[in-house]
Amino acid sequence: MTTKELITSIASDTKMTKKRVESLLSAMTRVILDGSTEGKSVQLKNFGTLEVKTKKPRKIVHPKTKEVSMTEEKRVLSFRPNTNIKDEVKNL
Amino acid sequence: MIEKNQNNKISWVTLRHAIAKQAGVTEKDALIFLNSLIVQLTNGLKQDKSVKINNLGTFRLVVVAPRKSIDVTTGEAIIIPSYNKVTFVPESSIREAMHPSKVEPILDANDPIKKLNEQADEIIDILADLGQGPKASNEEEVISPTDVPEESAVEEGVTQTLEDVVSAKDIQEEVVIVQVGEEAKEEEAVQIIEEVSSEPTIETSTITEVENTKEIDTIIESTTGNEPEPSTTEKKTMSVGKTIFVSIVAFCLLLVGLFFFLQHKVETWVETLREKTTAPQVETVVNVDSKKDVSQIEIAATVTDTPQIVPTKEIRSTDLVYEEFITTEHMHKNSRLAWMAYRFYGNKDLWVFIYDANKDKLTSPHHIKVGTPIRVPKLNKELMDTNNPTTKQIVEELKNKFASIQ
Repeated sequence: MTTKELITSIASDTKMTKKRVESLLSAMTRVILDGSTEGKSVQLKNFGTLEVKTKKPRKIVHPKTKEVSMTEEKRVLSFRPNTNIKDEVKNL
Repeated sequence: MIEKNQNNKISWVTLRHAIAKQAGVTEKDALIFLNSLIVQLTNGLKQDKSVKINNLGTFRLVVVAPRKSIDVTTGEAIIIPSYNKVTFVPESSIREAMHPSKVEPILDANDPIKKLNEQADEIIDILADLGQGPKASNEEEVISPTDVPEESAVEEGVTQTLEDVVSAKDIQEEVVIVQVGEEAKEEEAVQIIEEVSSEPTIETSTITEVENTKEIDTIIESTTGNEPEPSTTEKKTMSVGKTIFVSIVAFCLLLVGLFFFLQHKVETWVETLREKTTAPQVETVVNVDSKKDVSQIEIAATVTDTPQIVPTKEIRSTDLVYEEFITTEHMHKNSRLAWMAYRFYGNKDLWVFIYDANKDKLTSPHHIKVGTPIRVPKLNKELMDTNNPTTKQIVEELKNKFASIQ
């Protein structure tokens, strides 16, 4: 499902205009982005949690030069699904 | 702004508030939207197995393959069946936003093009200084090119001194002009002015000559003309830079050519050395066996070429006694004697020695039980050399011997 299709289905479900749904969706993405850059996790009720995980620095070896170096510590936005969703999609 | 939760978490309610504020809608509308979004996300995942949200990422349904496991309580081997799970792949913009330090244009500081430009500017400056050096030493010039625009700004119209014209030419031309006598100065000036008049930007109408001691200060009064082009020095420096660049490239090419030439020389020298080292062996054989047939000489020559191949004493497969062992390995599921031989001796064909050393424990080379300890015997250099005819013979003998065992 693409973003366009999602907007259309939400608009038909809520009787809102597509433009309004689009603005709401973009507002939501902005809020999530702002929160995640500050290291906050975002709770989506009945769906799951978007949380920021910290990846530790690890040793890497350059395949050609065999040079050993360490990666930088990085943060990644990951999704932890709700148990309800997990069960729902488990045996599709 | 987003309300901060104490637990470093944006809760459902906080999210609703923030969205309502951002989009300028009521909280009720935001709640309706969020509820609908969750429903549609779930439906989309179930139907299309993936839902993409722009500027955020993609929720995707991934199939986890069945795998073997062990029941912790009973210790029995079980198979965990295949199942689906939801994954999220953030968009690249989100990934970059999570690393603000990486987004910083570090490249600008080390930008190779920028660096090269800076270096080029520095070189141009240095060359300009070098180009102006001889001018300063010559006392003929008083009005520097930088002074000319000031004068021209003061005077009505645009005036251009002869020095401007001279600066547009090479240093050699300047020297020529300087060396010309006072009588010839007028003619030279007229010639150069004619050259200038050929350019479309400057129109000369009248020429007035003003002599200050030895200087040439012929000021050209132009009725309608543009300002003197300041790019003349730059052009000169660029041309000098080009010549330097071309000379560097030519020097590099010369070095490369020299390298290849020397390499070729060295190769030919090595070849000649080799010929020298191989030739005497054949010659000595020929001298010794000069009375024998040609065929015998040839055989002798081949023998002298590879003296190490000749076995010192004849070894038979039945005489093999294994006293020293490199290691003992236990056979596992994917173990092969041939592979072991390859690892320890560098040749798969030598597996026969390993089997021969362990034949008291093994019934067949084709069926070895998992967990059987295999002793890898230490072979002497002669046996490990597969080019050795004796080794070949022994290997063949052993192979034929073991081939009958099923």
